[in-house]
Amino acid sequence: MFPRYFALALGLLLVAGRLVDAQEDAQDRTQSFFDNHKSADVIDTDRALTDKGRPSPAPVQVSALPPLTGVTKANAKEIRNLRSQKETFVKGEVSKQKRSAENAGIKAAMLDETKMTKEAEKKWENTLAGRKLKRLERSATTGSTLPALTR
Amino acid sequence: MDEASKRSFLKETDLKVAAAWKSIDAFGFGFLALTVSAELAFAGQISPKDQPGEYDKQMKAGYELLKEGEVERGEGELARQAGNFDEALSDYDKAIELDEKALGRFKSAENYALQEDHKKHAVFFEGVALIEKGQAIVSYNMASKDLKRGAPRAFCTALHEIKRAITLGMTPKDNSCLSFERGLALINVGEYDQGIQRLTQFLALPQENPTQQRQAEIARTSICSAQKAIIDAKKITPSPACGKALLPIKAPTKDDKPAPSAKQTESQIVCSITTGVGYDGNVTHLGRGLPLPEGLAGKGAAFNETILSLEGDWFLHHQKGEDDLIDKLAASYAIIYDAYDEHSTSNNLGQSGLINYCHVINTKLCMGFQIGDTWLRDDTKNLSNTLAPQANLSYQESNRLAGKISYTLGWNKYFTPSTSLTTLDGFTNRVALAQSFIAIHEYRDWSPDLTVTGQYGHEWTTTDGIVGDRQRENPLVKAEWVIFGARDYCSFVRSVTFASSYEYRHDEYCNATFPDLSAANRFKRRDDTHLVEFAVSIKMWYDERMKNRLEAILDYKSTTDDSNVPAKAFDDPRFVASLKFNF
Repeated sequence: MFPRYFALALGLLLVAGRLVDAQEDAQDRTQSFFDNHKSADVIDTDRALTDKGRPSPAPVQVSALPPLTGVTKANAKEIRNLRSQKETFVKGEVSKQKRSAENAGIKAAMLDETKMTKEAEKKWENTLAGRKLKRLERSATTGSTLPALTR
Repeated sequence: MDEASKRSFLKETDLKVAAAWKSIDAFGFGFLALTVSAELAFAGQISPKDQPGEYDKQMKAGYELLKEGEVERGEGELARQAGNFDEALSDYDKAIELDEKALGRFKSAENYALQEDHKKHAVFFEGVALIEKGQAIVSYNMASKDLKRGAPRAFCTALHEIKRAITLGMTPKDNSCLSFERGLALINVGEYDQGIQRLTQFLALPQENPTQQRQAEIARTSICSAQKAIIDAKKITPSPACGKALLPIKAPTKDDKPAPSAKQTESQIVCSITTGVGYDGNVTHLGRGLPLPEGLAGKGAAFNETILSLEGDWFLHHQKGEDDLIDKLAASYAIIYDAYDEHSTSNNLGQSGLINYCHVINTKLCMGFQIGDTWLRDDTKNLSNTLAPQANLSYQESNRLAGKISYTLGWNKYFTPSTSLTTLDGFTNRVALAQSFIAIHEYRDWSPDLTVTGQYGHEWTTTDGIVGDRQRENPLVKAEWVIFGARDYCSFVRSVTFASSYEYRHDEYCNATFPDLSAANRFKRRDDTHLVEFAVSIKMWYDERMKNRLEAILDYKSTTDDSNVPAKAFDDPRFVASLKFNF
């Protein structure tokens, strides 16, 4: 009985001795793989020196310049102001016409609002501000900044 | 010519023709027939240079198209400033189309130019058409949430064409707008200093007509914007805490400035493939002085490494006060294969997956959680699997300083045979503290940036057996020096970076397991490992989405393990040259 147990224990110890190497090979090999491919090291993810294993490219500067345009900033601001004035004017005119029509006994459903808006817009174009807006809009689209054609 | 002269001329000509016919023999007749046939065959292909007046026609047509394009862009600008973005986009598209047609006309004019003196004007206007096109695209992108590509390329080509016109002899005397157009092209490619210089030259000239006055106004605005851009580039702005999308979704804008973020969830998929060849001086980490095992040709071997990496990112916006904070969720997968020449048993196939969520608490503080897994095998069998969740906290102390503290719990599983004493399956706990410092940040092409990072990590590993339990001290220092960083979009080489790191690992094993478990006088293993790495990375090929398409990487690593177990002490130099393609 004893020799059998002894042989088994001895066998296990010898095998264990070899297995230590095998195990450490696996552990060392895993460590070696992580050293060679640091981006794959999930225990220490911050030690990679290159981004070989990571697709995220580093940010590159992007031009933050405003566009070049024939419409100058000052003009654009003025155009915006005048357009908002136009909107207020048209709304006011339409509601004024609606009120006077209602006073005259015409039902709201009978009123042609589109026609009234168009009329108000025409009226606006004859005002000083209306003429200015038209002029600015025209100059914004026709004021060329191209170099003169030379041949 | 009177009647008599006419008759005499015809008679003379008739005689000459008759004499010519008589002198043609059989060979001559055949040759004549061949010549006539050839003339007929090429009758439709008249050389462009044989058409006088065509140059003028093409130049005029091109200029008309350019003017039409400018009007369309102006209409687009008005529509955009009024908030009618759909209408604006349609106008910009028309403008781009007209500019492209104009470019085609100027190219034709260049071909038709009979003199070099004409050619330079055609080439100059090719540059002007490209600037107009680039500008229309820039404006389009302010009215659209999606990026329309092509502006950087148009500006770079414009600059190239303007320089070509100058080489052909173009001077401001030929066209007073030469400096103006050159300045615009330079500023729009990111060459702010040179652009300001050219526009200042232009402003020094008298502006006599309304067009020149408008150009002067644009020049002044552009100079101001370029100066502001230089100031911004000089500032050390901390990188976004969790990152930001390569192409953020924009909110169309009425203002004359780049469209702001739409502050809605963004997503992107970024992929890369890297392949390289190299030489490993000690593939199997053979102990110092140990004989080479039978069957191996040598310690070292050439190898090929290939890495495919895929990443999906989601960016989640949330507001805190006035700050737009962006959280990032990233899921990535990488497959890595190393194939060694004549050491096929050392071939590795690694697969790594990582899910990372980074939450920004405020502009200076963010916390992250990630879970990663790496599964390693050789050509025939599984070797190991490492699963590691991590929690971390990052803090931006100042513009130049950022710190990070992290805790990782790794679960290691090895697939090689083991007994209860030798099994290494278990857990690794790691606590790490990292600090990075931006030492140099300058607005220049050469040596613009230098970042130094220091990290200290402590690990303790507990296993199911007794042989793998250990404590590890792990300091690391790394430096990243940008030797060259292109400030314009036109340079093929985007950046050249030299990076180096030194890592020291002190492993103290907890149990005496050497020389083997059955030995009477066993001792504990102790390893001191020095890892030195140098890498040169050259990013190339600008792309509006990926920022750089190509990257060449030269990487040298040296590992020296001074173990008290002689068989475990080794030296391993390793060099690899790789090419990475982003897509």
